[in-house]
Amino acid sequence: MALPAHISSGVSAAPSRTPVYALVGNPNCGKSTLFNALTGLKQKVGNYPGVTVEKKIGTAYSQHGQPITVIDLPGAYSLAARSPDEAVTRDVLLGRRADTPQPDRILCIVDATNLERNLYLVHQILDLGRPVILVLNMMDVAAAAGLDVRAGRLERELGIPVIPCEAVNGKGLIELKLAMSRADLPLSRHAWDIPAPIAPAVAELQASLTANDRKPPLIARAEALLLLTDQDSVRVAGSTPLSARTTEILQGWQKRWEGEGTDWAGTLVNSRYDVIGRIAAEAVTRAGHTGPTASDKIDAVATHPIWGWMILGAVMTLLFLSIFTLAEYPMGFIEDGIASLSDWVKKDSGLPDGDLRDLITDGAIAGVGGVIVFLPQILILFFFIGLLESTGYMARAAFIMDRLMSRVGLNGKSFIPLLSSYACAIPGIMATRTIEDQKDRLVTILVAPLMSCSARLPVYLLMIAALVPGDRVPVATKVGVMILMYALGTFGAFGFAWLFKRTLLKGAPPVMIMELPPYRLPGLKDVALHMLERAWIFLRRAGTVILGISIVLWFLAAYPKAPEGATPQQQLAQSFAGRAGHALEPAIAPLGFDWQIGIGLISSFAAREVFVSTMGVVFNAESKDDDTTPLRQALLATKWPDGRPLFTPLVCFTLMIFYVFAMQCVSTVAIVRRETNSWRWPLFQIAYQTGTAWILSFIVYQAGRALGF
Amino acid sequence: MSPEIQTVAALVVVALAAGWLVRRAFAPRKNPGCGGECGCPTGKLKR
Amino acid sequence: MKLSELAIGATAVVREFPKAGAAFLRLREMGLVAGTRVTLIRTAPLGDPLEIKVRGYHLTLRKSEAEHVLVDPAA
Repeated sequence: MALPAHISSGVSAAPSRTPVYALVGNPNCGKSTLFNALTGLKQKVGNYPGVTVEKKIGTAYSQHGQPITVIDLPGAYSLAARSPDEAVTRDVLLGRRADTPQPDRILCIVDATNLERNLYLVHQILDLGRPVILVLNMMDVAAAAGLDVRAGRLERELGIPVIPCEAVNGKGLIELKLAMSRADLPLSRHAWDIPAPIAPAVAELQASLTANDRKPPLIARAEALLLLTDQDSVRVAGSTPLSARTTEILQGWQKRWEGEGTDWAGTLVNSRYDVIGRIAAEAVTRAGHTGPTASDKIDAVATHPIWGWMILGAVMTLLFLSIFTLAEYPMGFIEDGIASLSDWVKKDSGLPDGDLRDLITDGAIAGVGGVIVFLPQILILFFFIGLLESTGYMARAAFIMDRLMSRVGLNGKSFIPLLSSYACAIPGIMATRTIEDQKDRLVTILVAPLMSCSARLPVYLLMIAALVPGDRVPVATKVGVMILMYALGTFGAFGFAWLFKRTLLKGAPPVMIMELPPYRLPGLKDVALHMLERAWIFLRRAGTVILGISIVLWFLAAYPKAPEGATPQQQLAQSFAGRAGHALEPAIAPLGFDWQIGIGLISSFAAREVFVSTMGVVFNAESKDDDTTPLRQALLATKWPDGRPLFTPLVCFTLMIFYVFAMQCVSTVAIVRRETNSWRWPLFQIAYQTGTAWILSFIVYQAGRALGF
Repeated sequence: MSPEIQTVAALVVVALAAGWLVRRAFAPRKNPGCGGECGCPTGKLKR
Repeated sequence: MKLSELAIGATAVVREFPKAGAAFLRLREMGLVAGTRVTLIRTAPLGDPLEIKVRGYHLTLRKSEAEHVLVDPAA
């Protein structure tokens, strides 16, 4: 193979002498474990601009203390990208992303227990003509499975350094770091004979890509091979469209091959696998019998037609039990902390009574606090998701649920995001990143907020209490209404998913091509790190966007000022929020709601459970702080101006229906905006959800009245 | 701090917050480039 | 015969693979090419998707894809 002239002449990196490594590998091969082991906590986690793919860059130190930059690229099976994740990996490796330093060298990590499929990506990467180090991970697991993987043979076949390694317990790291700091990494001597019918096309495309698309020669060759592997040249080209001349050449060859009946893509993939099969046969010997592994035995139970469901049910029950019980204590601490902080500002900070103080306590602290309360639940949820992912059970859950999800046109991968949304839509929407198909992902994002999140719980609880007055409410009634609300949200979500897949986001029938990785003990350190990263994203939102919105909402409730001596209730009534409530009344009166409920609906935008505290201000305002008149009684005592009671059981029920469907959460809107990179989808979501909420509430209320409730 | 100064300060904070939110929502993204068709809403999806 | 018609536990060799379609390209790149040995491990509790073993690892695909993959029963 020729010397890579493009390394010096290509898109040159910053004049820093720190070598830049890209860490590449299949999903489930231990890549993030190796990345964490190499870089420790010296990582920067962000996002690739324009796509919702996590960008991780870390610094490793060689045995001599020299810094080495490592970019952890998303897991990929092939450079012929099919998901946003894989597209990022491809683009960074091909030097297409201006926002990421082009890697000088590539660290390929492969799972030694599954060498053949892992080597496919390596084989494509060798085409790039850059120095590559191969990390043979999970050597211990391979040995236990009776596989003898000889690194020396692989090294000879591929002509690149091959380092055996056990990333989980740090074995092989020193050797790897020594290899990484070598100044003279060899280029692969592995020569690959492109199949005869295709070779001239590769040469012609390479020449054109070099001349017309100004690609460095070796990159051009790799791109030519990709263009011939994936039939969709637009997808391969991504953000750098092909020149007319190159497209013409490509289409010329495709037309010719179609006429001849040549399966060019298949030939390319097959010939790569032929080479890989030969290499693997050289390097791997299988010792004797291959009985069922531990993983096979677990799967015989975990995906069993009967036990499989029971285990899935048990795992989910455990998940929700921990979200709702375990989280209770830290949530209590946080609530107390917020309350005492607020008290401190009021009494001991030395700030006298005034607008600024109110803004700090009622706006900033109350608003941000109301969202941060959910942090423990979100942490637990992410911890569980990380655990399920790293043990391999997540893939089984998707496997079991796929058939059901396919009824509404989604696939099994949408199951966990939707399930997570019962706790909070935000982590649920963030978890949709594992869904490869963009339309399936959008549908999942669009319906996720219909799953009743835990912020709706306080609203449901208050309304149920008002719905069935009396101290001895039968538990069955409470539970029954609660289950009804959860069921409504769930069926709503599936119904709308079905509808969207048939109309708005019509796509090819979804496929479910997914690896079922062997079960593994969870890497607790990696799971914890992942959880903390996600929690940090959530906290950053709370500290920025939600803080800003809380301040604005405070202003809307505090201005314009009522005359001196007005009660808080009168103040709220004539504030912008109160006026908005009045303005809203004609729209919500058909649902049985008055302007005061309207204020609650508006304030719910900060977080749904704010409805409860707003109702406290609206209806309990005359009472002093230490007066403990239950809010429920205040609600029940409230009347319309004509003397009819406001909170009839029917109105309470209708209000709950409204909360099941309406999109009222600014944090969710913000996260959807970020994840879809456009305002279109969050706005559509607000419209369709709130529209549905209104229509259903209208039907329920009017029908209820007609029936005499 | 007197109530008047507090009111002025509070209003300034509100104005800053509102301005920042509006700017944030409508400011063009720093790197509008996309990593390829599968990463960002395509023309078909946008419609 | 079709891959989807394979009995559970049976092993076969892939004979013919569809040329077009992104899903089939991905299956190919995952190592399912003509001449590859596959074993049907199980179906999901509701009958779909399938779990197969190919090149030493486990892969799922739906019946709707599997019925386009032609296989010969292995000895």
